Amino acid sequence: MRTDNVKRWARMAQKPLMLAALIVLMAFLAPGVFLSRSNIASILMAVCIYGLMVCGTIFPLLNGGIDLSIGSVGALAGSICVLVTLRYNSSVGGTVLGIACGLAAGILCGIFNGFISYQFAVPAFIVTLASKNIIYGIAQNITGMNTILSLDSKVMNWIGTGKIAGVNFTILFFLFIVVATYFLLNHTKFGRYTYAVGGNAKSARFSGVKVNLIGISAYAISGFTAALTGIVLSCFNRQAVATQCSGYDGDVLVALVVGGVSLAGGEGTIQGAAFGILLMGILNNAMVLLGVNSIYQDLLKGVIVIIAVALDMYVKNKGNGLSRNIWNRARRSAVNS
Amino acid sequence: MNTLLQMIGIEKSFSGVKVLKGVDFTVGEGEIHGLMGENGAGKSTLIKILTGVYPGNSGVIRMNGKEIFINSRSDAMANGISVIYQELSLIPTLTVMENIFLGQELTFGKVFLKKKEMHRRAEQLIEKCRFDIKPDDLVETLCVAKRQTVEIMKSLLLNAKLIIMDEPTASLNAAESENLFKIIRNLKSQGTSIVYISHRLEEIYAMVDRLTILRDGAVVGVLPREQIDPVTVVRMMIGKCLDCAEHTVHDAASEAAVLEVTNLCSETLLDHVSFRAYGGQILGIGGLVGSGRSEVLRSIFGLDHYTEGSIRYNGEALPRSAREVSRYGIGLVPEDRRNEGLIPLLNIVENMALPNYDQLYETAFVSGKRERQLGMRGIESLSIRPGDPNIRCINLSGGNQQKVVISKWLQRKDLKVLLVDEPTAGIDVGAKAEIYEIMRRLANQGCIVIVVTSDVEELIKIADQILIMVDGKVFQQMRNENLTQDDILLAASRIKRKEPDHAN
Amino acid sequence: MKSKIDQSVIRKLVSLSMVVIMVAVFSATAQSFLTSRNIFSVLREVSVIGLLSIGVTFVIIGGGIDISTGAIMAVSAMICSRLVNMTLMPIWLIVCIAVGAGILCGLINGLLVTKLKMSELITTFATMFIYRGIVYMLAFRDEDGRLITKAITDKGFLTIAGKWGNFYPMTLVWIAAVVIGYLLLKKTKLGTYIYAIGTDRKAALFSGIKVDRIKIATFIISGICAATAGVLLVAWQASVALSSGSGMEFQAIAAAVVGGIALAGGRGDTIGTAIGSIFMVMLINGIYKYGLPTEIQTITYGVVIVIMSVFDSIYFRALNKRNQVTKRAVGRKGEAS
Repeated sequence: MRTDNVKRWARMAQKPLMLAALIVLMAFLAPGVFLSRSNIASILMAVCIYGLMVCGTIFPLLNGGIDLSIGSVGALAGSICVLVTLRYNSSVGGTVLGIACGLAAGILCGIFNGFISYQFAVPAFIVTLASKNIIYGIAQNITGMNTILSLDSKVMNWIGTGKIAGVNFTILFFLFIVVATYFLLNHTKFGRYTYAVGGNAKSARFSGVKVNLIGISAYAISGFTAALTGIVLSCFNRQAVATQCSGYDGDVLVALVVGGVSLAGGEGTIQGAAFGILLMGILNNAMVLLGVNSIYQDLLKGVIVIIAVALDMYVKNKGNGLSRNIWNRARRSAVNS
Repeated sequence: MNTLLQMIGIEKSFSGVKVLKGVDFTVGEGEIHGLMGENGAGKSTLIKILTGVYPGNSGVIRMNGKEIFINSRSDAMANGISVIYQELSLIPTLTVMENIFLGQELTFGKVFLKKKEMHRRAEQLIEKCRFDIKPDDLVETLCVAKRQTVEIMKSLLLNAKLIIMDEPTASLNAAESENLFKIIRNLKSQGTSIVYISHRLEEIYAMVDRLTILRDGAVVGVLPREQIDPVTVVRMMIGKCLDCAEHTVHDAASEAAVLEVTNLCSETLLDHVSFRAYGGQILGIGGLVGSGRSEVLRSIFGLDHYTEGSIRYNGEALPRSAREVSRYGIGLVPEDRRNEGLIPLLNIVENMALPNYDQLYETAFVSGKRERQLGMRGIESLSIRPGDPNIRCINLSGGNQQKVVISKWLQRKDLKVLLVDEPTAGIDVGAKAEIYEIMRRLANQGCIVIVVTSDVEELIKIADQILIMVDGKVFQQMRNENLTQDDILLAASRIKRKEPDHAN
Repeated sequence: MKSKIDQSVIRKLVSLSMVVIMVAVFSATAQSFLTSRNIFSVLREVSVIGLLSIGVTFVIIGGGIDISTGAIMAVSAMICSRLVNMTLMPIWLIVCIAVGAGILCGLINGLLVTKLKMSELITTFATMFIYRGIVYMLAFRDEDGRLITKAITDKGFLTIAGKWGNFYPMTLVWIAAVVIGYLLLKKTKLGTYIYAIGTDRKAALFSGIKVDRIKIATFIISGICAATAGVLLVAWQASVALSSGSGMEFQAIAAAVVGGIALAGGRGDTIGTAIGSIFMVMLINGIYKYGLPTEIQTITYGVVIVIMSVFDSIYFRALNKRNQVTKRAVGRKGEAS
């Protein structure tokens, strides 16, 4: 029992420790610069926008699905938000309406993904790949392939660059969403059902869980946060363009996978995902500070994904040595009795 | 008749417990040899030794008089021994021909398939055995019976001299079984030996040349065809006359709750199933695998669609979705607890709380506290070990996993009916007794408990009323009074000895 | 008795008739669609994307997925462009080296999947970044170290993408790949084993098939196809953009899915994929010929994928149900007799 607890702590502490080690290492390699207030703020700014997406996209992954459409949802939502805002002359009410429309569009996209995937048993990979194209096309259409500037909306500008107590609103908002996701996953029935469905959909159904409803909701949440990301990005850049967020799908998946979220479903935490986000952010920052050529960035991303997953599997299998023995014993006794 | 296979003094123990105690087993050339025994008598262990699943045991195995050593599946194959598995080794998206030759294709230069040659040989084989399939049929379009013939052909292609069939008729209907018997006789006439394992007495009588009966890891008798008769066989299998006196039948109180199933029919199997189960009693459903027992439970729980009939609790029709049935206060402990009962990655508390969140918390939010209390209550009342609520269910032993699955329903405040499918499969003796006790306690509280089990001893031990199902129909309903295992086994094989009980 | 031939032929007829209807509609309504020039240029485009598709078909039939094909294609293209510009190697050797790189990339994918037991999606997701990183590393740079693209001027190499009248012979490479792929799947031991491991890994293992080796082989085939596509691409376009081929891995998978390759594995063949590729490319081309904005292409593209996968799902359900019903009818009849 004791060793079991130790092991669990070791597994939980592994990620913070790695992060701490990386921070200490960087503090030595780039003294004075790395831990400066402005650098930390720039790391956080770099990660927090797509970090918002991570918080929602964890839900379909925990259910055993995947969402490749988030980048284009971000583009669509940002575009809708800006267009509606401009239509109402960037008034406060108009901006709020724009944001609401953008978020609604995101949720609808998510529901579409979830509905097709669950109702027709089409693999999530294919559904979201297709909807990625559809949504991107719609974003192109409504923006007319132009970059649409939105310089005058006070609300948008404040969301993009405003500060509360000296900290960017965006960063605070990101932290809020992380906490909210943590709450949703750990302190609501929905969170419990999400893990149950991802762990074993059949058992969950046998326990009276509405599997399809949970699954579709997960995509809706993913669409919602993707829309949030797109809107915040538009606020930050004071513009909307159909290509915004286009590379985010990859970064989000990297963060999730590095953060220990299993693509098979049922395993992973938002803390882990947050670790993944921070790790990737710090690594990117470190490469800039250390003057590593940016051409190695992609290479590094791939290598880190492999190392992280391999490490995760290794730790898990080590921990499972015991459980596997128990299983074999149970199976054997089943054979005997 | 020449002796083909000789197993002498086979012993096998698992973690110090002897499972086979010096078994001698002989099969003649071209013989159909039956192998019977209760669950746990050692049949499957013996077969697994013969096919190399359990290597390194003591004893001698001879084929045609020569000693052979079987340490792996391929050793067994090389010696002409093969087993017919139900589904395991066929690839549904390939054709019959491709499946037969899978892993042993005829090729030009090890790369290109000799399709014509393979086709011709497959056709020859089919013709020789008079099977009703074509080499180009896709396996996924075949019914179970025909898939079995594909398996048989696969063995024949390996020049199997001995084919082992483990419960081959479990999922076949009467006509299909009859067809299989023809095939088996045909194989026999061509000199292939068959080891035929079955629980169905009538098949054994009809088919086998000799019958070996195992009990508690030892051979209790080898009967030639003439001496096989139902009563003798059942006696030998059971060994002792079970002490019936220790079981007291609990009668239902007059105001007890009642679950009434009337004329239940399903598209695939169930055929006008009717019965009543009363609060305070345990209803045991016996019969062979595939007789529709589990389907009845699944229909009650709203998982399977039924085309006709009704299911009522105290006169009130039950909803037809698993979610609503479970909210109504009916729980199902499925047979496959790992894939249907548990979420292996979640811990004990989370698993137990899963169907109960509606009662635990009024709002959408959960605080870990009440869940934990519920979990601790479950762990304590069922003495689940280890009692650490944070342990993942995948790390529990089979018995404790089963207790978790049962316990998650026991935690419901208004539990009215508990449906249990094979409660003790793969569970050690100690945990078994505990699970029986739990079910009895539940019944005493006024709940309706319905148990499906293949273990006859278990059925007699725990049930107050016993229902025997055969081919999707209720064959007989009996009050568990002075019943013996013979009665059950015979009923499951369509032989009535007692008058049906008209009390209900 | 309905057999496999009927089923897959029906599915192919469906997609083929879609192609025919589409061609009819486009030829009737869009000018300059049904000209030999246009058709041959469509086929040229098909030959690149189609090759990727053929490769990924093998992986999908074997029960996996490969999203690194676009990056492998870019690696091979970049190698060609480097070697042609900087060495005097004979063309056949350059092509061999490029294809060899594809084999190596596929081998790495396969080894990671089988030896580290990582999921195919994560593995190829990671190697997608790694191979893309290699493209960056191989790319040309100016004196300041900035990445630039450099055109190939070597006439000899460019003849690979030459022209016979209006016909582009590189189409023949694709056709050859379709035919060889079909023979490989249907007429060799390897092909049978690929279907076997894709349908039921355990049963395949049980029949004595070396599952890991077959899995690696599928990834290598995918690598070869992708690398060949890269050679064609660079010969056709005479230069390699850093991002060339990105997104094409998804188009390749989409073409396979539209052609009736089930993502679950074990079903389909290269003919289906070929029809799917033609369909997708022609669709885009036709919409282009209408003079419609590009976003309509993107949207239609996504819509077609959704419709076809939903169709497949419904079709298979109906098929299964019919199988069950007939089985039952036979069973009941047997019992009565």
